[in-house]
Amino acid sequence: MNLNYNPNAAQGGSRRPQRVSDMNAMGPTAPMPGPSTYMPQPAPGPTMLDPNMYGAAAAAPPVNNYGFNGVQSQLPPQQQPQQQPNYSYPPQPQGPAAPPAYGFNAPPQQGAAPAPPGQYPAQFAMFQQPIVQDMAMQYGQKLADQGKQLVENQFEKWVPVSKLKYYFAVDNAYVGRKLRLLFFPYIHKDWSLKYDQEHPVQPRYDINAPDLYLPTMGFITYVIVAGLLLGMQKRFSPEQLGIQASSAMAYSVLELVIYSIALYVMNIKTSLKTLDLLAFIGYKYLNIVASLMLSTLFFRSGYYMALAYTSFAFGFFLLRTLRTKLLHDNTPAAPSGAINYDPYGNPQQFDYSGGKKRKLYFLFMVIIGQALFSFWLSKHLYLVETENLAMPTTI
Amino acid sequence: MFTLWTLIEASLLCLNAVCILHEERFLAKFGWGRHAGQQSFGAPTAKDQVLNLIRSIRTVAKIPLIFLNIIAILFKLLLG
Repeated sequence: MNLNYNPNAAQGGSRRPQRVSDMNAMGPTAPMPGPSTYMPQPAPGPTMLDPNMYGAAAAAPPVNNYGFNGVQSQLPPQQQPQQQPNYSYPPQPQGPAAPPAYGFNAPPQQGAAPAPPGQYPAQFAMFQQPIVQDMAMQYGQKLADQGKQLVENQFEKWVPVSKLKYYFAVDNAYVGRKLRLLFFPYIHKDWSLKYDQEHPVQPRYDINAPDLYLPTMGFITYVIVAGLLLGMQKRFSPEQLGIQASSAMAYSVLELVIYSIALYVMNIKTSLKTLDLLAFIGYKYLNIVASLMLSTLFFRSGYYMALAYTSFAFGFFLLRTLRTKLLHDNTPAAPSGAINYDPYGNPQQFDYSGGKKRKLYFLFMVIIGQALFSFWLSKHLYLVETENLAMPTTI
Repeated sequence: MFTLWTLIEASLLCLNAVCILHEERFLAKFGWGRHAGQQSFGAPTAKDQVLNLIRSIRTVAKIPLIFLNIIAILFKLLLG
C-alpha cells in the first residue's frame, strides 16, 4: 500500500503505477527551490512533475508543489532506466544532492536558492493535506474571478455590453410577431410599452419593445441580397460585398448622428435612447430586403410598389410606436416644482408643454428619412427588365 | 460610393470646420457670440442649442483632433 499521498486519486484518470523503488534513496531531505514556488495554483493535480525531464521540455505547468512527496510515484515506467545515470549527477543549483526521484520542480525553479535540508518536509508537509489544497484552489479561483471582473468593468466603459444584452433578448415567437407587425401594423391595438419597475421589459415579453436582433439580421440579409442581385446583373465581385456593407453602415451611422443632433438642437427631452433610435433605423433594412426580393419577380414596378407599401406601413408603425414614447411622454427630467431665477431675480416660467409641435416635426422627419434612405440604399440594386440576366438556364 | 472611410474623412473635415469657428473674432459679428444666448428668458431656443453644441464640440474635440489630423495627413501622404 502506498503510504505516500497521491494527488492523482482525485483525478481518477490515467493512473500511473506507483513507483516506490526509490524509497531508500529518499532520505530525510527534499531540497526545495524556495518559498516562491508555493503560490497556489488554480490548476489542480500535478501532472508530469518529472525531475528527469527538467532538461527536456517540461510541458506540464511546473509550479505545482503540493504533490512533491508523491511525485515520485508518478514516474512513468519508462523513466526508470534514466534514473540511474542521474544518481551521480548532483543537481548543483539545487543544493545538496537528492535523488532525482524527488519531485523538486521543473527548470524554471532552478535559479532559486536552495534551502537548508531537513526542514522542508516538516513545514511543507501540510501542503499535501487536501484541505489546504482546496483552500489554495479556492483562493486562486477567487483571484482569477477578480481579474476577470476587472477586465469586464473596463470593457464596459467602452462598449455598453449589459445594455446591449437587453436588445438581443428575443425569441422566435417575438421575431415572428414583430415581422408581422412591421408589415401589417393596422390591426394592432395596444402600442404601449410594458414596464417592470422603471425598466422596460425585455423584448421577449413585450412585442412593442425595440430590439437590435432584427435590424442586425436585416442588415446581414441586405448585404447577401445585394450580392445576389449584383450577381444576377453580372456586376458582382467579392469586393462588392464589402463595399455594400460598409456603405450601408456609413449611411446608417450618418442617419443616427443626424437624428441625435436634431433631438439635441430641437431641445426635445424624451426617454428615447440612442440604441432605441438605432433599432428603429435598422428596421428599414427589412423593408429594403422585401422590396429588392419583390423586384426579382416584378422588376421595376414591383420594386417601387413594394417600396411604397413598406414605407407606408413602416411609417404607420413608427407613428404609433413613437407617439407614446415621444409625443405624450412625461419627460423623465420632469421639473420638480423648483422655480429657477434668471440673473435679474425674476422667476423664470418655463414652457412645460413639452414642445409638441417640435416633436411632431421630428417624428415626421424620421419617417420621411426612413423612406428616403430605403430608396437610396437600394436604388442601385433593384432588378430592371433586361434580357441578359445571369440566370441559370435549365437544360 | 459612400463608404465608411469617406464617412470618417467627412466627419473629420466637419469637426475641423466646427472647431475653426472662433467665437470672439468671427461669431460675435453675427450675434452668435458667447453671451448672446445666456440672457434668454424661457426655454433655450434652437439657436442657443446650436451655439452650445458648437462650443462643446470645440472644447471636447480640440485635442483629439490634433492627433486625428496628423494621422490623416500621414495617410494621405503615404497612401495618396
